[in-house]
Amino acid sequence: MIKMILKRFGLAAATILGASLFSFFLLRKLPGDPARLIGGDLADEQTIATLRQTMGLDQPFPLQFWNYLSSSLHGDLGFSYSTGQSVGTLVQTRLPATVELGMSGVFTAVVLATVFGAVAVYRKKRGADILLRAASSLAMGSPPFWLALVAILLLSVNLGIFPGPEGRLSPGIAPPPTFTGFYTLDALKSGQFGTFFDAVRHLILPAFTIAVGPFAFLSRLFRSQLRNTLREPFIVVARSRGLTRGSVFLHHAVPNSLLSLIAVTAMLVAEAMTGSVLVEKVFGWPGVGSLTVDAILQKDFSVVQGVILLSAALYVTVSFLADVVYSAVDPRIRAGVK
Amino acid sequence: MVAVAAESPIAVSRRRIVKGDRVLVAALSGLAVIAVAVVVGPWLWHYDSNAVDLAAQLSPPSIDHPLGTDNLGRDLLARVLLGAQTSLGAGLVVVLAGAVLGSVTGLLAGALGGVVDSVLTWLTNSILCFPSIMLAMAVVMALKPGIPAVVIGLSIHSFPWYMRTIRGEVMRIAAQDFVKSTNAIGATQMRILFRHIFPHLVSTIVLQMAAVFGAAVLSLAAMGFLGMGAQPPTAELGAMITEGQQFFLTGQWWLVAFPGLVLLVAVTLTTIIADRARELLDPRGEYIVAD
Repeated sequence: MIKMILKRFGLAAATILGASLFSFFLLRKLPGDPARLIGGDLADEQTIATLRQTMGLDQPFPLQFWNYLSSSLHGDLGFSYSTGQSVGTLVQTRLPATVELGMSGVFTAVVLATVFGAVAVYRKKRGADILLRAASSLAMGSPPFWLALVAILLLSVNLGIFPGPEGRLSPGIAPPPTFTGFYTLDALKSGQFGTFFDAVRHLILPAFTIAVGPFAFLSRLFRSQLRNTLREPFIVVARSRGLTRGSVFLHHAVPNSLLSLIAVTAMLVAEAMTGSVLVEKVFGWPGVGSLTVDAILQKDFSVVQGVILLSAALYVTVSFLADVVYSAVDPRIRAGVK
Repeated sequence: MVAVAAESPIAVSRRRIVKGDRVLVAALSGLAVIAVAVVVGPWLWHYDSNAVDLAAQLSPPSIDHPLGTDNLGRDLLARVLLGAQTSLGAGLVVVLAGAVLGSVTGLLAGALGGVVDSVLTWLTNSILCFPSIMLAMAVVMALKPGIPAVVIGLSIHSFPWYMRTIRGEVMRIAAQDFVKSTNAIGATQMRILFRHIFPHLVSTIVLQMAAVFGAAVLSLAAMGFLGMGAQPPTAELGAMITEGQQFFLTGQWWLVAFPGLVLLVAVTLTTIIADRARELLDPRGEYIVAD
């Protein structure tokens, strides 16, 4: 077990190193000159040369990369040129909003995919199965940002059930005191139930929009996994011991099939990150996604580099953890049995 | 699939299966209709996609303008047709570029093994830990906003999926007896790789292309929506949704509804086709659909 963890850890470290090298190369070495980007089109050659020197762009590439890597590892991701704040602080203030949204989205997707997948497999009717596959194909085909706009038009503008694209809280409502940075949890902790309900109301539409992509993917996976599990000998054994079909399904087949969902957690996180960039823009959600989009349009170099590196690191960390948890929960993986 | 001159029994049975699968046939015909409309439509339809008509600003769908007009009075049908051409065409480029790059690297990694294999695997693992849109954004940042930068970014993100699949397949096939015997006859490595192994991979590659096409089109539209893809006045479905966004919530629903619906229908159809084709051609393989 420990050997396996160490091996996976080495692999994860190598991947992060590769990812940072790749993003560094892409952003520093491709045609666009960072000094020119920051200085602007009107800056004279002298200014650009000074900028290149202060940014260390005149040093050889390996040295530049080394400097970048060592300062990143010390938590220094550089400064944002448009706001003057450090990238670390910027990301820190925006991260809770994105994580709150992303986690609610992924959670919604997992619950919906498990419930609908289980129902579709349990009811042997073809109709339920066809319905699930159709829903998943549609979900896979729908552009999340478009879906978000349609949802706002129908449910918020026309019916007034949900608030419009105004961010995390209604205007005039003060954010709760910060503990976790998640407005829902913080409001509950400080007993501000009005704020809590407002935060939840603002969270529902964005979270559902983020959930669409992962739901499409997960419901397929869970359905096929569940059908495979139901063919295994231990299901027959359980049935022959006299357990009802429902009991075997709920207590044996479903938990075993849920295991497979752990392995794709990392992919889900990536999906949620991608979805969040788009959904944040539509809903005016003040998270990392909208920070990135603004930074790119304003050519704010260090912010983009920092966010990209962090998202890669997040992905690698989550997939590493998923592997460890998976092998801890399922002894077959540990023993190398397929 | 490659056309077979004298129909083999397998081809005949495949044809029967395709005929029997009504969903597949319906999806294929739907996509064919869209493809024809998108390729031929812009020439046939009498409005120009960029012709401004300030007298007809924001008019709702009518007989003259079946899908209405936008805030500059441009005919929305003409723009949707051209926009779909841009989106689907660029998606096709991404898929082709990914397939070529992925096949070459996959063949190399699978056939050579050793250091080449380790380095390529490391590189692709590193690429895959970026969400596709993040990677496309980084390329946009390095180059400049526009469809070419987005296509490059998405192609870089899509080739590792092909590489992984093909690498595995090459290793599997290379271990089989017919390859060993070809080697014994004295065929060169190159000949074995391209004449004997590669033909077995064609269906794998085509299936993977079908599986990622929809995702590529959606990512392209997403980048257009964020203002980093197609630049005005180029018609592209994602960028059109952004342009229509401010009018959408105040009653001019057609500006956002139609471009989105075209995206939805086209991508859903390709997803269904990819699904069915996989079940028909390769019942044992499970293909990963990239984000």
